[in-house]
Amino acid sequence: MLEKLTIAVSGLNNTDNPGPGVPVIRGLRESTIFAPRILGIAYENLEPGVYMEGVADKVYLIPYPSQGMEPVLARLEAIHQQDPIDVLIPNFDSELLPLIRSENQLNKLGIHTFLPTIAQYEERLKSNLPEFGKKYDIQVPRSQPLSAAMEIPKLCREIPGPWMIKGKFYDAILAHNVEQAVAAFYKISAQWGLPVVIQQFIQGTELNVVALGDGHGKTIGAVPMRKLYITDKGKAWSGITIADKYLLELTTHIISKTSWRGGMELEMIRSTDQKYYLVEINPRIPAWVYLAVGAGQNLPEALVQLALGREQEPFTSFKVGKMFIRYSYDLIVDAETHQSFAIKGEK
Amino acid sequence: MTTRVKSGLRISDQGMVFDPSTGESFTLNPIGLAILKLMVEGADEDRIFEIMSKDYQITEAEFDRYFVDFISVLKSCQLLENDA
Repeated sequence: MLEKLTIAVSGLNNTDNPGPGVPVIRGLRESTIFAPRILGIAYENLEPGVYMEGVADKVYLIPYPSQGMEPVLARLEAIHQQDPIDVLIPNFDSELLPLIRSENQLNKLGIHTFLPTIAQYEERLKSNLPEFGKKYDIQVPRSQPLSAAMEIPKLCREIPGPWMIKGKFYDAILAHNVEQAVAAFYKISAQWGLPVVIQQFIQGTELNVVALGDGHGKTIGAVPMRKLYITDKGKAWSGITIADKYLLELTTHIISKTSWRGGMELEMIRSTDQKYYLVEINPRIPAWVYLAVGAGQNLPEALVQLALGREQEPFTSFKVGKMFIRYSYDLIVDAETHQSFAIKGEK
Repeated sequence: MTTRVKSGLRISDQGMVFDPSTGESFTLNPIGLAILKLMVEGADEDRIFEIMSKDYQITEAEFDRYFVDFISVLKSCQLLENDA
């Protein structure tokens, strides 16, 4: 009989810019080690994962961390008293840092997490990517953090165009001239704040790696994927696992040198002249993680094992040529269900 | 001369070629498929001409021209070994 564990998972926003919550839960539900009771953690009452059948056993609304961590921790503690949580897997970039900072408080409550350290989190910030590349000998596109639009014309002369204008957590807009770069700066800074990053655009094939580090330099699992279909938001709508030795070596190198703890996603570009550029590191499991599960590496399950301080043997292989194809689907929900969740904050 | 095809390619009988190292897929017509399979088996250009000339009415000069074109397509698709 499988062990019963209660696992709280956020990122239930299965939209066209999907959070990783639902695919993480699908991986957990396929565990051969434990039988999870899943608590969905939602920030908005219209996150699709709240209403999807067979995803969460129970869903709780919590306040955004931008309103301060006290209300968030108070809410998590109240949920924990009602429904004791063994492991919490946060999946939003914007909640990661506050939750990393709250790790001790969560531990005291008995809620386990498996997140990167503050130093690991900050080192790979988009604004720090050039230093990261230099420190770990990894090719990265030229980039520079921006705090004012007036810096853009000078940088556009220094960095060869076109450019990606990127938000600190999400969003990236391709700009072909200074006017477009300035417009993108204002759009992104209004939504995500400062700094905004200007990065040299590298033409090529987009490749990503989902990986899990044990916090001591060991790579527990890693699966590279080539994007086959990309949405207008730059998200993979379809992808295929590939046997790219360089990507696997690079992942092992980064995890080993940084002693990375937790899930991560490497975003890479292979240029037309076959050079690899690291364009971003996301400090969490990505929304396409279920492809890794389908290819033989249940990384969400492994992450739970590590969060509970258990031994987890590294995965040694995965199936190459496995594809994922995302789809959209209309859920029909009674207005009362939505209203009740919005008012009570649980479902 | 033997031109070496990249190792590990997955070639289906329907003519789909999947390169697991890059994730790229290609489609071949039946003649291209037959030639690529021969190349994977290690057949050199002379041997491929010998086999193809039995199935198709083609002169050596015509074969040479089409074979060179085919090889350059394979090369541009990065389906040949780097030193090929």
